[in-house]
Amino acid sequence: MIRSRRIRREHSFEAINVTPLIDVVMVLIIFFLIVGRLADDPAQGLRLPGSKVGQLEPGKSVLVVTILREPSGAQWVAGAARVLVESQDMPGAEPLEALVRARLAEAPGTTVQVRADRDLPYGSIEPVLRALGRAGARSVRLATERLS
Amino acid sequence: MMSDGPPAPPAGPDEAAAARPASRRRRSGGGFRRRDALHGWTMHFGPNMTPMVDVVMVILIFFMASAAFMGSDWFLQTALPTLPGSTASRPRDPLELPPVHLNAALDVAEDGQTVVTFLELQRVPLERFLERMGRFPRGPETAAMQLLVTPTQRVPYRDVVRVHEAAEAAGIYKVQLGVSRGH
Repeated sequence: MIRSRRIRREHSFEAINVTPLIDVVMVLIIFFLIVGRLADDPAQGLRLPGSKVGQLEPGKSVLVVTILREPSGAQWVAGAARVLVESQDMPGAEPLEALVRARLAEAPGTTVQVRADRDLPYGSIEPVLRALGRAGARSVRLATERLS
Repeated sequence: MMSDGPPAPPAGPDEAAAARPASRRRRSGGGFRRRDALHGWTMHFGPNMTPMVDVVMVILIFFMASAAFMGSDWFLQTALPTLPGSTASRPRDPLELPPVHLNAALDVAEDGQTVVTFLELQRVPLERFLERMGRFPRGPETAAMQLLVTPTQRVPYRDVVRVHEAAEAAGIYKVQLGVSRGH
């Protein structure tokens, strides 16, 4: 009698232990978040230049312009580069200018962040900066890899 | 075999406990407290650390992944020149003294090295420029200075950023990147 009650108690204790279930679900959520993010991100091979100084805050409203090294890149920038505005390919300076102008008109406090590959020549960056200047951006934030 | 006398009274609790083997006595609680399964587990194997380790590992992985995705970049603020067609307006105080303008021209030498022309330095390697910026006098005026960095098309972007970084480290925060006016 006492033995069977003990067994029942042990079994009921195991039945409400949801810790392993939560653990597995959490691991799966994190796994799919990371995989989803990596699969979505065309800029995953980007290598930023290093810097020991700078600001930590990227800004409240941010427009990210990414310039990647790519052999079959855009023709409007020097070197082999591909220009993206928030994962959207920019085929020329005019669409970039129009998009940035629209975003700045919509949210005037928007910070333009430039994430460019460190091995690109400045000739790949300059047309982008010129288009941003024409669109009304007074300054940009150059993203760099934080060095200790 | 039958006994002659009256039947023996049932044994009392103490006698019954004494008649049982020692192991049975212990389990039935003769003089011991009854314990549940968790207590028995804890007594034999110590507290179960597995759920705690699991949760700590999950939290650790979560924060490592978050830090890898979000937190490791610096940002160097760079001014852009006002170009024809720009919609930006720059109000200026008429009584304000004009700021000190410095110019750093970057080019690529024949051997592929980046060379810099800055103040008294004429087409010196980038390392010498960085050394010169390390000795740049810092004062309240330095923060008001403006540095215009004008790289040629072939200069690697990482060297442009190194010049910008050296200027910020020297206390010159108003850095502008030069761009040509043509298309």
